Amino acid sequence: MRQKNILSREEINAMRPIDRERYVQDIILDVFEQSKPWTIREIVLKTGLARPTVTKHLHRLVDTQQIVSETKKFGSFSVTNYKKTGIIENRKELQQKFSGTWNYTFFTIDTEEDHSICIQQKEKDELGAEKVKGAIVVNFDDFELFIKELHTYAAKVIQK
Amino acid sequence: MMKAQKVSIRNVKWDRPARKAIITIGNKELLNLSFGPSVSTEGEMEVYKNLVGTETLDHVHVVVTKLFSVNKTIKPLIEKASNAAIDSDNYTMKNTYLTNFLESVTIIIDPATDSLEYEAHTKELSTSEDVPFELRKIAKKILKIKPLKFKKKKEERKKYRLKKKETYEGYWRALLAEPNKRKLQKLISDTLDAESKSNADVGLPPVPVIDSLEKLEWTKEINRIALAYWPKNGPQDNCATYLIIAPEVLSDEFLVDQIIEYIGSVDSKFIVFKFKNLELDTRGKVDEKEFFKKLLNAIVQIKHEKKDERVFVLLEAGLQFYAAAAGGFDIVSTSISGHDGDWIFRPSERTDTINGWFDMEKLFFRNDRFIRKKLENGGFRHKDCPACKGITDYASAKRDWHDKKRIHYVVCVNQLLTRLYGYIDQQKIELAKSDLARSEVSNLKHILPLLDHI
Repeated sequence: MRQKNILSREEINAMRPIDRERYVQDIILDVFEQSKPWTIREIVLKTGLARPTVTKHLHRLVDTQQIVSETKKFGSFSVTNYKKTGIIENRKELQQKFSGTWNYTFFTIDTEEDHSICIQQKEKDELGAEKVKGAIVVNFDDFELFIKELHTYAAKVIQK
Repeated sequence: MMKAQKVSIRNVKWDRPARKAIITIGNKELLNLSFGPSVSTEGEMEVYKNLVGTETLDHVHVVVTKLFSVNKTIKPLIEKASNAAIDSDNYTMKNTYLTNFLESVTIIIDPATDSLEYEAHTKELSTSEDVPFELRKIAKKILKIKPLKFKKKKEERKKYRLKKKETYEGYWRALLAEPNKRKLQKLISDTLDAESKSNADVGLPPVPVIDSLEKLEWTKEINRIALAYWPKNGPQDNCATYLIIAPEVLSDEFLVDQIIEYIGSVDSKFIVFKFKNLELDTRGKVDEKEFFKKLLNAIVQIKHEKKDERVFVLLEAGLQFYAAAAGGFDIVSTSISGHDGDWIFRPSERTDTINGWFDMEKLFFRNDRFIRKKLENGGFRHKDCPACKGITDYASAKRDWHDKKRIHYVVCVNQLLTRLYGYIDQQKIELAKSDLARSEVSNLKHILPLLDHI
């Protein structure tokens, strides 16, 4: 749906920086609605955005676990593909009020290879709009161990 | 930054042109059919807030206000809700009443750019700090053109009108002619931001009044950019396509067809119309009624084609609100007093009178003579109306009449929409046509689509 509304390059350049960042990220995220692996070149062609812009936003999206990157090596060459994190299920927005403007969303990510739990850290601005600021993904098999470690660590730190 | 919210429509039931359903915008729910009284002063907001807080008014969970009025209507409530708290060591009690009110009522904030062309509120538009600077600037420029007194009436008025048109159209034309549209983009994002700051649940872009094909094209362009600006951290469902239409458009079939084609092609779930000074009930408006009916027919068809994923809103509906709700609009709005004409209000020449009592059966506002007669013959027997309950004689009616007639009007519209809801439920929407036929606005029965054979 969003593809129809892409603004022209001049119009994008005329946006306020904060709006431009959000708009470009939305456009790139839209590309991943088609669940196939994408290379940077393909995304550049599809969106008409500049390569450095696309690269910068892809890194940010990978950091926040909204997409994943896979690098395949062919001898001395390597190709990096980007794709959607997986099938997102059991999404749960926590209703508790955390201090400050933070909030957390839990969901499971199912891919062919593994099943993981993802926790996204979101920030609400003064008007209530949410933005993903960071994320962590833990495999189902490792989750018990992870919780144990987190619990032990937190108990030590908080006691101090 | 705008608030992107998911909009869903469920529990849908149709009866020919009318649909009943539940609309969800984010965490807020409202009934389809709903009435959104438009409030412009602190007093009117107080009347609405107290009414919705104490009475069961299921169809009135929407409130509309203009962007230049938010400092008198919504903003004081937001401020009170966030500041009024009783703090003790480990206990904080927020003002839950106001918080609940703001979290349950759907808020629509109209940027009211039509006030640049229609003069009744241009001054307010030019001075309100909530209005984007660019709009205020052009409003001031337009105000400056008007001479304090027209000496040679006809000639000077014509000259003034031409100059105003030139300034107004020149402003929009310049905004849209820029290749990168930097100024236009700023205006759109500033307007949407200003609406969001006042807790608006639906985003309305600043659009010109459509009276020609050129202005329809401008409106399309502005709506397109607004949709691109809407954040996608959720579905961008609550960014509306907004059309403000001059009354003369309804006599131009070509323009009506173009508008229908446009609303059929847009992606946004909310499509908001505002017809300026709509008076289809007056005699002689044959074409206007026919083309309005055509529009209603198209709305019904679009809702079916888009699998019920569209919500149509009519602002400043005036006396047409009942026919519009029965004929395809999901949310209708009039001012809380019921009078929507965009001209400077002049109180009745006869002093010491009370007017504007809404007659639910005649769908019309009654004057002082009728009110006196009614009170002589046993008073208002209006069930469940907190305003009518306290009226025993003319003197008691006159006390706080300003508030009473507003409360009475909102209660009446709620009861009328409840009645319509019942008709749809029983598959008897043709009864709405009978209601119109018995009313003072019986002309409007002809605008109901799909009910010609009845």
